[in-house]
Amino acid sequence: MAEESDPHALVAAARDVARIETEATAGLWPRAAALLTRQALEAAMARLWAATAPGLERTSGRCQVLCVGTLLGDPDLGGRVTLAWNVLSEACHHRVYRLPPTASELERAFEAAWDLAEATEALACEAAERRGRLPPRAEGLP
Amino acid sequence: MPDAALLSLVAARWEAHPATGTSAPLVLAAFRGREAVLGVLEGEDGGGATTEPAASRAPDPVHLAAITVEGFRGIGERATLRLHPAPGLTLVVGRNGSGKSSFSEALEILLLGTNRRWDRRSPVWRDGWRNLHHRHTVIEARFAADGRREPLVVSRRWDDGAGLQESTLSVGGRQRSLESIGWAQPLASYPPLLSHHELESALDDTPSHLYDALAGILGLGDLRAAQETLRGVRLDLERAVRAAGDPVDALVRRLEDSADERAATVLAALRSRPWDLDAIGETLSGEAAADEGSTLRRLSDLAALPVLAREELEATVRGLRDADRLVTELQRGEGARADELADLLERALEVHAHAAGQTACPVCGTEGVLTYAWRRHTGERLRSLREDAEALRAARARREAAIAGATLLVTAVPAPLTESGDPGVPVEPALQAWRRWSAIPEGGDAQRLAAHLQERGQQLIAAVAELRRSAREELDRRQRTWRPIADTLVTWLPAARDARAAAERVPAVRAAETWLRDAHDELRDERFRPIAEAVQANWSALRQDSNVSLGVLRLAGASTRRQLVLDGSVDGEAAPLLGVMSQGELNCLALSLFLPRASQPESPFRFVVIDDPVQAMDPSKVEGLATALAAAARDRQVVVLTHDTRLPEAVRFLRLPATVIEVARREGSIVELRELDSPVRRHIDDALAVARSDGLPPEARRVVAGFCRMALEAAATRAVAQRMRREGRRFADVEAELERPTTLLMLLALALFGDASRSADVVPRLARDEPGAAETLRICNRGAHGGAIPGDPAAFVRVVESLTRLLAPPEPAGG
Ligand SMILES: Nc1ncnc2c1ncn2[C@@H]1O[C@H](COP(=O)(O)OP(=O)(O)O)[C@@H](O)[C@H]1O
Ligand SMILES: [Mg+2]
Repeated sequence: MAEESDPHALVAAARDVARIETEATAGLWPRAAALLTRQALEAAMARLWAATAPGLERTSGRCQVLCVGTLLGDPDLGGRVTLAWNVLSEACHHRVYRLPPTASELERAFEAAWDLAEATEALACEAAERRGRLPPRAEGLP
Repeated sequence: MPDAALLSLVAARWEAHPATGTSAPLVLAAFRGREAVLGVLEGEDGGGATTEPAASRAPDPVHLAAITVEGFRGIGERATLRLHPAPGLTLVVGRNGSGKSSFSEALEILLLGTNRRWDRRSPVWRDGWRNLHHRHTVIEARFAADGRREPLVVSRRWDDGAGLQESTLSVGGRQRSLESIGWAQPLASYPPLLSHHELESALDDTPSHLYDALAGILGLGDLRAAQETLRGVRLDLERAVRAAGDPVDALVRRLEDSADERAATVLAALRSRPWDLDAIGETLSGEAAADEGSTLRRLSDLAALPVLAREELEATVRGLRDADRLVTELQRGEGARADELADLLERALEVHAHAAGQTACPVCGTEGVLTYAWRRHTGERLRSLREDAEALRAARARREAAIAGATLLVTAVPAPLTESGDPGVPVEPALQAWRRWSAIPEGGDAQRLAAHLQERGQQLIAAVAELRRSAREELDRRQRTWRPIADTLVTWLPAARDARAAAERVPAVRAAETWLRDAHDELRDERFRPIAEAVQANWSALRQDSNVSLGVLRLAGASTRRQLVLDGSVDGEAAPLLGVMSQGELNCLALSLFLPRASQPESPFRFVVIDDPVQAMDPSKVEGLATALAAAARDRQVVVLTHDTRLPEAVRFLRLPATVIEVARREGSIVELRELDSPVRRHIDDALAVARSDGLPPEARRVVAGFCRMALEAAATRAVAQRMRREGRRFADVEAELERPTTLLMLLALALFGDASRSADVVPRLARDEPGAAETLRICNRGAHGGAIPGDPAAFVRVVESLTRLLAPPEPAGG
């Protein structure tokens, strides 16, 4: 399992949960995957705020997702993240009669989280370059 | 009335590629219907079809401004669904049973009347159209027509107690049909309404129905109808040809079996190509039977041989004999010498007269005999002798006349008896009898002549009668075998003549048909390409992770073989799509097809109303649906009715601009509507959500400014559209105007004054009502690019909100 706050790793883990069903995950995987994906979104946003608006991570989830589009300069991705956030939040607040998200709703959410992680990293790299220093994760890359 | 644009396209194509073997008038007549085609085939001129249809002006494009419903389905008291008549997405949301479909069905029945689709519904449904709580029924829609200040009002009302079919339609305040404003055809070709029911059943239709539904958009209906007209005419012609050809084999067989010489003539006529129908006609009318040397003619001549009348013969013979007997009688005794004796006596009287007084006979010398008494007696005797002589002469003359008359009776052998060839009846006895009859005995002996006539005449009469009878019988016999054939031929002949005419026409009609088909296919492929592409785009938005991918989408074939071809693959394997798709996927595809169809630039309907698309859809498709609808809403007014909250949520979270109207229905069918959300509302709410967050870092304040700017833009854009529409400007102008402003202030100037160049006047005007206008606008103008909001961001948003309200022009009263 990758470092807990690494959004890429969290998305990959969520995907695995959704793909590989074991006895342990039987029936639970949609909510488990939703939880992991939401953590991925939070982690990616935390990185984004670190680079753009430190302190934003302390505001509500709704406030944060609304800021993604503007602070990332990508309103489309902002919208997808907002939708994914809402779908995942519904799934995480376990209610007995609420159906879990479908595989394809989850797939949408994975994509949104992954794309946010990518975009955030690109932004962090640019910021670091401007400051003449690479961020820790990129150091290990060829 | 054929579509003028299409006709001129067809005419132009004709100029470039005229078809061989047919004529332009025939092709053009096909557009004016069967009668016109038949007219051209009959040789009438084409009637200038190219110039005929005075291109009736295309109807003005319209957006939907309101639907008002009273006493229909679930809506009792008058309720109005007000819409912003401009491109954009409107979601009408409400629980099941809140009356959403009642609005869309009302619009459907208003525009389409009780059409076929309506009739398909169950009778229960049709009976329940009147609201139970409100007896009076009126449906009205207001349309914003392009370039018109006043809305176009279309309404349909029912008298209390009237049936569904018994409504009165009024358009623009006058009782008239939608046809009269040119809507009938576009309503069929570009139906702007899609119900959930149709969405589900659209692809259940046969491939040819799907073809028709889509081909309708291409505006080639007239071209197809023209082809159908020609096809119909050709099939009728071919049927006529077959109808004449079918019985021919059987006819030929009967003719071959028939010994009748007419059969041979007809056979020859039937074997010549084309059939020699005139010869057959002549044969039937009997003219051909009069030919020289024909047996039939000979037989009929024989049957009509001159007859010697028995009475005449007997009278002649009697006459002869009587005359002869009289002569014989008169000649008996002195009779034969009466003249001689009379001459002698006369001479004696003369001599005696000269020898006056002598009484002795100078011949025998007897005395005293030539007395006065003798003289008187002899004078009388002389007279009587003279009379006898005269009688004998007369009798002789009569006998001569009788002989001459009898001789006249004997005519030469008639030609039909002596002609060569076997007429099929024995001629010889009559010929012999006639010959013997003609051989009159020499010598002028009346008795012999009478005996000849008597004997030979009777024989002749018998022989001729026999011959006539047998000739007649032979004719009858032949006629009896020929008659049924002739009857058949008589009824067949007109059909054959029709068939001949028909056969000559078929190639021209076929050529015209082929030409039209080629023209049609070419235009069809050309016009369908962009639609197929739009369908593809919709499908890829909607399909999400469906493993079905849509390949070629084509309209193919013609007439009974026409179909919509949907090629594609499932997990990379080519497959017949309709067979493998799930209902949800089918609905997505149906919607993918519907949207481009309703968005054709030729359609006057710039709106579409889609009832409950989500209900029929896989939930995971909702995000794709939201995207596809928003894409369609960029240049169309898209109204979606839905009970499902996922669609408005997806629209909202994806930040797709949309107006959301909520429908609620109370007891007694009271339906209420209110605007829940609008693009302006959405941005203000989002701005507030961020602005009110505790501990919002300063860097994030520009997010608030960004949303505020979007709210102002949305409000201004709507205001510009409303203002320009009220000024009677066209949509195209509105769009062009909205493209122009480069700054927020210019857009606001356009909204407030209808003049983008008056941006300097914007702040003073708004500051009259909102003191914070100047500062707020300055920050918003920089928007997300770093407008730093001093002070309380929530208060800032409140100011923006009041500015958006100042921008909106007051709604017109009523409506
Ligand atoms: N003739 C009628 N009189 C009264 N109520 C009706 C009539 N027809 C339908 N309804 C009711 O009106 C409600 C609204 O129906 P509908 O317009 O289909 O709602 P929605 O599309 O929002 O689900 C339904 O509950 C239906 O039972
Ligand atoms: Mg409904």
